[in-house]
Amino acid sequence: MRHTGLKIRMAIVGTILFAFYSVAVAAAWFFFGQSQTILAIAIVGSVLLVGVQYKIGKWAALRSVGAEDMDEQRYSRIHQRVEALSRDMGIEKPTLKVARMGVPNAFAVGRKGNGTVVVSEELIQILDNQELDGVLAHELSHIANRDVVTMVIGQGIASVVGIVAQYIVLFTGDNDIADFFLAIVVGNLVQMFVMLFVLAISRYREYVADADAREAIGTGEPLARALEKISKGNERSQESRVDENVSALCIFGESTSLLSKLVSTHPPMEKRIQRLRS
Amino acid sequence: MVGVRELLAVGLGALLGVALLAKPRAMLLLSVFVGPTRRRRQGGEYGSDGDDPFGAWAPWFVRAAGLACLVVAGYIAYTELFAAAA
Repeated sequence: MRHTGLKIRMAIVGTILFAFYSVAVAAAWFFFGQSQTILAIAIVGSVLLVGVQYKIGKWAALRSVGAEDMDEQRYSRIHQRVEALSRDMGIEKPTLKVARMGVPNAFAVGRKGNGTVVVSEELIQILDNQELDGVLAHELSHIANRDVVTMVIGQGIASVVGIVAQYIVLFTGDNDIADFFLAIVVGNLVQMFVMLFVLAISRYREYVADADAREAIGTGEPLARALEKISKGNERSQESRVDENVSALCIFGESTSLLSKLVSTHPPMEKRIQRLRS
Repeated sequence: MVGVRELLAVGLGALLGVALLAKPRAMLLLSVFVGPTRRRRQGGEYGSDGDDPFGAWAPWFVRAAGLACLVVAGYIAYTELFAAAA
């Protein structure tokens, strides 16, 4: 079994998320009439919410970066490599798009069989062919592992649990200002708490995608080099920004504390590089 | 007599308000509206969330929400707790 430790951790966090969802649906059923209609509304509503978030999310992702179809002549090597890697991973070749994002970046949207990988022109410019292969393999792993769908479901659960908590507080009170305010506060706090677990899953899935990319191209070194190159460039640009905007950073700057790690979608870069090279 | 709900509204409201004022970026990152899939592509470089996945106005918006939470919690504390006791 591949990535046993990670899969166990993901299973635990996934179970906790499912438990949150079950409790929310059960609570909705208990507090709002204990009928099958309420149960059906809660479940169908959740599925619809996730479906709409998925569809809108994909459309918005591509639109927000101005992604355009990747020309097969100009980027023939990328097309060939993605085709070969997709075959190795047992997935259909995703649609390839290119965008000017202002920073070196790449991301995958969609699901297995209907995925899209977007690569920024800046990333193509700074990485060599092998490093780019590592990045492409990582993004294809996200599609193969259904990570985008998983994260949308996670966010959907956080939304549903927050909404249910909010309405339970609202409908079991006296409808005065204190109840109304308490409902909003509880809804937000509960949703944020559930998001901590969703973000934990996001970080686990990055490690799994790294491991799958390493397996697909036979070595983790190119992806590790790519991450190193990007992170060094990022450090340099941050240093220059510190020189320019010291006061702004003093206001907005938040340290790399435990909280920062907990709210991050990605694991620390050093850890990923270390694992890829281990 | 002051109810549990009023106490919770004041306590949790103040807690959320302080959190929003003190750690606006972290609170924003915990919102479903700027969830992981969106943050992967916005502002951040590959492999990270970036140092500013939102506009510069976003932390101030969150701080304003935090201030509003504290004001409402304070108002409830004044009307429900202190005024009732008096």
